[in-house]
Amino acid sequence: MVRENKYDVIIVGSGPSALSCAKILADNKVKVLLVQRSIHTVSPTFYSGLLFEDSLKGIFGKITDGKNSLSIERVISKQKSYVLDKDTFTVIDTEVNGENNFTVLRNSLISWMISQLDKAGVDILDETVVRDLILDNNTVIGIKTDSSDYFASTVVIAEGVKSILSKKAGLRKGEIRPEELYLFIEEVLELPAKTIEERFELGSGQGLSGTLAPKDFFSLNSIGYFHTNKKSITLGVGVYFPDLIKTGVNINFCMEGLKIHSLFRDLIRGAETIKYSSYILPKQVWTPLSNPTNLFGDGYLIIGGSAMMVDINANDISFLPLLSSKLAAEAILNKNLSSYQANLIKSLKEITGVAV
Amino acid sequence: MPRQKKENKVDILSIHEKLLINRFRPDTESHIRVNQDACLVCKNKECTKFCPSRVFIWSDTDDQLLVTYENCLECGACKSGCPYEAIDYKHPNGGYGIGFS
Repeated sequence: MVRENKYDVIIVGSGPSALSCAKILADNKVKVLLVQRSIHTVSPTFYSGLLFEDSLKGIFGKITDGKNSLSIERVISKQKSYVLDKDTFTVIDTEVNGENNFTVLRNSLISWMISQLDKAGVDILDETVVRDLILDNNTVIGIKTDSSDYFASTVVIAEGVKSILSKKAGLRKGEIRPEELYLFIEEVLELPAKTIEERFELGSGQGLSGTLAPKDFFSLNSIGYFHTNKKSITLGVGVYFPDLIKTGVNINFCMEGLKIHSLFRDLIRGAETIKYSSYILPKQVWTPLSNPTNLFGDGYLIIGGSAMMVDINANDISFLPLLSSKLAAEAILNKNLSSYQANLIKSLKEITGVAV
Repeated sequence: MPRQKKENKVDILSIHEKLLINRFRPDTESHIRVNQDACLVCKNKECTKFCPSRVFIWSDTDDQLLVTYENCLECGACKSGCPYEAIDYKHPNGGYGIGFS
């Protein structure tokens, strides 16, 4: 429900970054409008489906909160990395940290988060595309949608990697180059719960999360991942975008190649694909040196995927986007937007141990 | 035509078959515009190969690029991948496009 056209903060987007930032702000009595393209509970956003409860700490309530609990697919009990050769593979078991890591379905997570935003008093505008920002003397003061204009002291851009709004409004110079991107496709393959537990050697309700490092996979630089849901397996593959452009190989060919690889063919035998999606992610995490886009300016902040704040090699791929949400909310609450980028750089340096 | 389930086999699918799985709510107008002048001089027609849902199809008879935006998975790769920057990708209108159920 939308009451009026003036807010403290407008957030553009409906992914985990957008929703997390909105939640922190609303919990601190900030008047927030969230504008999303999709209908209320269906999100076209990308989310890996892995949920590390620690990343949500301090943002959302407990995942298992009686009748308001989030519907979990499986508790991750095994974590493995696979190096894939032509038709053989090597497994490396990695340690599972605690019992608070889960697989979730994207839409369950998004609707759970949105129900919490509703309760926290965030106004949500559905089925609305933000076409441009409104500027006054180089300061962002609002947004233009197909139907109306809305105004706020701060606009948070969490529109995802595509960065259409940031480019249109001139916050990002030029189009994203292929060299900056990995192209991904993901499939959800349906199998009975019992079959999954047998094939992956899992106890009831337990899950496996795996990362794939293909060695010389059709001579393309590629990575992959998979994890078990209750009654399905999520399988994803990403290829360095210039490699696809250069070779003319369609990424679907890589996915089908993966499915008949010795690692997977027995695991997914008889499974039916029930979902096919595609998305782009940055090759490299944003740093001030690698990326000329400023993540803050007068009246705005850029967070999550649109800030290229995603590490495709990370175990918990949602860690950086959510970190950017927290730091952005903090900067807004402290009325110091420039501190967002400074704190982000500081955190990146602490995480990687390298000066950025 | 419904897909036949292949018991105990790995289900190998073409892009076409995969697109039938998804639910789309297509708008009446395309959210992707192309500059056809660039397509005419473009030699490799990269977009017709890399698009994960084969939105772009070159028509030899019409000498133009057909854009089946109704099948778009909304990854946005096309606007970066076109060597002529001739693909103008905008978000579909609110509530339209791919719906991941």
